[in-house]
Parts: sequence; structure tokens; C-alpha cells
Amino acid sequence: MKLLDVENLAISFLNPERVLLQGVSFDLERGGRLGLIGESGSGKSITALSLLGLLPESMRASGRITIAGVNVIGSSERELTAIRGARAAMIFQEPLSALDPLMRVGRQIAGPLRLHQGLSGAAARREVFSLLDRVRLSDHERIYNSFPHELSGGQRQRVALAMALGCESELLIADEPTTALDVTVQAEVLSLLDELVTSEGMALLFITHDLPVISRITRRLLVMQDGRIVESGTTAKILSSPAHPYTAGLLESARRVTAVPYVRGAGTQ
Amino acid sequence: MNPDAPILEAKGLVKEFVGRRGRLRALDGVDVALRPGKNLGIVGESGAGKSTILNILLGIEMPGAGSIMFRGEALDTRSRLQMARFRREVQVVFQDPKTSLDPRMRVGTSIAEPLRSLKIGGDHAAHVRTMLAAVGLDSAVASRYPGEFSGGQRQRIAIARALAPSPQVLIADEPVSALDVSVRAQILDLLESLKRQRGLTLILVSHDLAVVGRLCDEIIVLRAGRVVESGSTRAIFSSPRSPYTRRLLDSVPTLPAHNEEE
Repeated sequence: MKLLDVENLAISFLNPERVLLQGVSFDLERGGRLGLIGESGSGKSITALSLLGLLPESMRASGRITIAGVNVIGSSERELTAIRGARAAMIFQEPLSALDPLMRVGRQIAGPLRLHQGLSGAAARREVFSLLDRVRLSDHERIYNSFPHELSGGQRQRVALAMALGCESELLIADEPTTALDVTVQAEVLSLLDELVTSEGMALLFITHDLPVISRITRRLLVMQDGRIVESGTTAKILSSPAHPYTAGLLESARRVTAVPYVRGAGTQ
Repeated sequence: MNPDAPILEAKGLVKEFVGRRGRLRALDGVDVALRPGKNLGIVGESGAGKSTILNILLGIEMPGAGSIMFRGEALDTRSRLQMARFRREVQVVFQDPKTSLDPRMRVGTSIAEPLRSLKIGGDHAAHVRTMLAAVGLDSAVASRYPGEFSGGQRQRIAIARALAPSPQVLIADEPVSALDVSVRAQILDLLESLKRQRGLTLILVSHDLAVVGRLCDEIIVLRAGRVVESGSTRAIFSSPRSPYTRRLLDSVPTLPAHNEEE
């Protein structure tokens, strides 16, 4: 059984009715990595939201989504709560949107630990500190007692990652997790994500508009345009010989925009 | 006057802000010189001081210390005459054309707006058509509203408006960061060709080294309000001296080279 199985997923706006996504099928095995690439309006973010039953009320999904064999479409809010966190966690471009602005960060990370592992008090606090360690936030006390807005963008994304780790989720859905970050921070968060996914044995669905970023982190890619998957295959194959003209265009633009006339390691003695 | 003399020059810029946690020195002795025809990139991450420099170069904010010279004259933000000339010569394009264009104003009216406010005469409607053509848009666009256009088209409109008074200097603040990759390349191409055709000099403020590397002849690398390195783009990319510049360059995500195998 695949960890994540999506079959013929379609998503529509209800009023007025408009099809946003159609005929989307893909799967992801335990511990696997899959990249979903698309530009704005392609439908990549609503795909991500639909996987955890998080679509706004104005949209409806049809088709089949299962996570570890459990149906997502048509499930009650209670059944969905059982999937979220324990089976699958999600991190977003702007971690502030996933964090409660009025609650200290430590308590937020401890929340799922109480729920999923029955930890409380000093034990929960110790576990939070160890999670902070795993996402390389060393200033435990300060981070624990901070409110989200007191942290930098990179620190907030690490906190969001710590929460996902605390849930011991099997699947991590990351929607543009590094897009809003400074370039050096982006590089750090990407390598942290890469390392954690491997060490925790989590499966990763990485969603972005950024081909260079995704090409470094996933071995398999889906290319989405106007609510359909236009191409899928291994990252290496798609980058070296894209089959669909849209993919070829994306690749060409990415090469032109990111062609830094720089040789890595230049200037180092 | 020396043809290579800087059009816009700032020396020893210092800017401090006082907040709850005490004084914050946003700029600490920064020099900037823009020479005619030499596009300048100002690169840095959050907190580097990019926005502060931008506001000072636009005459929106005064530095705490240091001077700004515009065409060899000290810029006095209180002099209306000088500022009017300055505004005509130095225009700006922002990251998000969604917020920089008035949604209730027709595109043509928006583009003609700097002509009116700067009291530049002539046939404004004809000028709007010329500007739209220059940025690759149909003249019918003039009677429509910004909301009807995509991000890339809106950025073209914003560029048309900025270039309407025929400035010598265009300051672009992260002009492509909010755009899709495929649109980004088109806007960069447009800026490049406009620069050549109109004898513009660009100041590009960005966190994106790849974009700066493509458009600029010279680069200033800022970190925490100080210049850590400056020089020609070629020198900075081929032999960066500062460890921070090297880290920045190493962090830029790039595609594997053609035919590179896993």
C-alpha cells in the first residue's frame, strides 16, 4: 500500500462552478520524495490543501485521496484530525500563518506532543528542547518563551518543522517552505529539511515554483499547469530532456534567470 | 562636466532607528556611486539596509549623517525646485505592481500621472501610447484597469509609468521577485532593452544575486548596514573576496548543468 495515493483528483469552485483541477493522479511510497512544480494559478497549492482536507468551503474535491489507506475525501472532521499531524504534517511558505500569534512557541510545539504522545509538564518541555535541537535551534530557553513574531523567518520555519517532527508524521507536505526566506537561510533550511526527512524516514511532498530548489531535493517530479499534470518522471530525466513544451519553457526560463556567472568555490584559497 | 562623474552619489550614509530595544544602526557608513550607463546592483538579505538606502536614494528619507549628490549638487529634500528636477530624472519601480498601481485608476491615467504631477507638457495620450508600445503592450490597455492584468503585465505598466517622464535613472526594488519564473525572464529582457534604447542607468535593489548578475555592471554587497564588498560584477562573481559574498553566491540554488547525471 502506498503511503499517499491520489487518484483522478478534481477540484472545483462551487459558486459559480469552475474546474480548478482535473484528472490528477500520483502516489508516494513510505520514505519517498516527490516534487510538485507549477507556477501561480497552476493548482499546486490547492492540491496540497486537499490532501489534508483543508480546502476552503467554497471548493469541492472529488476523486480519491488516501493517506496510509485512510480516505480523505468524504471523511468527517474527526477522522481528518486523526490523519493530520499523526499521519501527515504540512509546512507553509509563511510559517506565521500556521502558528498562533498569541501563544509562546514552546507551548505550540508541545501541543501535539500532549495529543499524540501523552507528554506533559517537564517531560513535554524536555521533548520540545530536543526537537529544537533537531532543527538546530540552540537557544532553547529564549525560543521556547518567544512569540512567533519575535523570531526571524528562518527560525519560524524551523519551529514549524519541529512541530511536524513532534507529530512523528509519516508524510511531510512542504508548500514553498523556503520561498520567503533569505538566500543563505534558504540554503540552510533546505539542507536541514533534506537531512531530517532522511533521518526520520519521512516521505516528502515538496511543492514549489522553483525548479533549481526542487531539483536538489527530490528525485521524482510532477509538472502542473492549469490544474493538470502535464509531465511526470525522474528529476534527472525531466531536467535533461523535458517531454512537454511547458516543462521545456519553464526549464529554459529557469536556466536564463539563475545563470549566475560564478564557479562554486571561486575565490577560496 | 566629466562624463563619467556619478549621476547619483551618496557618501558616508548613516541611519539609526530608535526602537524598544534601543538604537539600531540600519546604515553604518555606506557609499554608493552611480555612474552613467553602469547599472548598479545593491545586494543584501533581510536587515542589510536595502530599504533604507532605497528610501534615501529616492529622497523619501533623510540620512542621519552623510551626503547625497545629484549631478554634482547636494540634494536638498526641502528644495521643491531641485526635488521636482530630481523626480523627473530618478524614477522607481517596486516589487509588487499590485500595490503600486491605483486599482481605481485606468492604466492610461496611471501612466500619465507623473507627467501631470511633474507638470510636463505635450500630448499625454500620445505619450501613453508610446510608453505602452515601449513595454510591449497594446495601446488598448490604456482604457482598462490594473486588476484586469497579470502580475507580469502589471509590472510592464509600472515600468511604462516610471519611464513616462524620460528619467535618466530607474531604481528597481526587487522588480521580478513576485513574478513567476517564465515571466521573470521576460521582464529582465525588457529592462535590458529599455536600458539600451533609452540611455537609462539602473539601480537594482535585490536579494537575488542571479538577477543582479544579469543586469548590473557593478555590485555593492551589504550586510547589517555595512558594505562588505563592492566592485565590478565580473570581479565579484569570479573572485569574491569577502567570505559573506562567497556564502551568498554558494547559496544561490542552481540547476544541475546540462547532461549532468545524478
